[in-house]
Amino acid sequence: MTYVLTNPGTCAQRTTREATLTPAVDIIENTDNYTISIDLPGFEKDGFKVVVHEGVLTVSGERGRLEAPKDDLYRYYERPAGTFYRAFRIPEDVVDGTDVKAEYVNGVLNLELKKREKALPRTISVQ
Amino acid sequence: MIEKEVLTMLPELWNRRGGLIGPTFDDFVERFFYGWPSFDKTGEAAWTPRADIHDSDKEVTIDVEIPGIPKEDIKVEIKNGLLTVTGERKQERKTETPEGSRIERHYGRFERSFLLPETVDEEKIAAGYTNGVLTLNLPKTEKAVPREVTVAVK
Repeated sequence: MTYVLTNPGTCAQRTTREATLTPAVDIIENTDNYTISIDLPGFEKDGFKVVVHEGVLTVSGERGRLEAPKDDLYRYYERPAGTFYRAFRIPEDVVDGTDVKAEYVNGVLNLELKKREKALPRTISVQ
Repeated sequence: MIEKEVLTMLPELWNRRGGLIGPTFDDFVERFFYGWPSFDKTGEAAWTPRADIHDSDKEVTIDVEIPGIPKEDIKVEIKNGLLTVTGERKQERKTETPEGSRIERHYGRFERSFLLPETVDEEKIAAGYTNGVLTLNLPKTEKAVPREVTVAVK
């Protein structure tokens, strides 16, 4: 039970990708799955890329800035625009990383990774 | 001319601390403590969401990032020229096995205030929530919208 969905790299360590955003992530381990929730406000559903490759799940995307109106007098930005990138090593108790569900609700990208049947605790009845 | 005027006025729009002393002592206290974490009755600090501000001739637009909050749980209030966005992000999922979990996101109450310039028509403020971003449209009063007036010189 020492599994932690390790985080091999945030964008800060992968400067070659020119990622500018490191969204906050929650990883919750449940008995039959892992859920990953990433705060990604202001994106489009179709703009995400979720890739599973060699046991690593990577999520990336891009957020542009709306073109400022020409008559803009003043602008103040706290929200960074650009690309984000986060990667997660998939634990061994997940089915080869194939069973990943993703949905985007209210600016949060929720990923669900189902655990392998074998990894689930089983009750054996005594005859 | 107008541009200069707006620039000197706008820091007040988002920085209450830099604002002038208000009509009441409460306003003064509120402004003085702007940017400090505020505490609710349980003693829990509220988190501050990030915001973008655009000011154009006709309106001011404020985009506040508050992902993962049902629309009904967001409260927008205007009092004494101070617009305040508050709400709470509840932790929905209970962790069954905490050792395999990691929490980076903010939970609990959030709060962000903006001191509105006098040019904004408070009655016409509109708010929308899309993909985790609260967009506030603050139209300016007709008086404040710059107009070009040609004066004939005789």
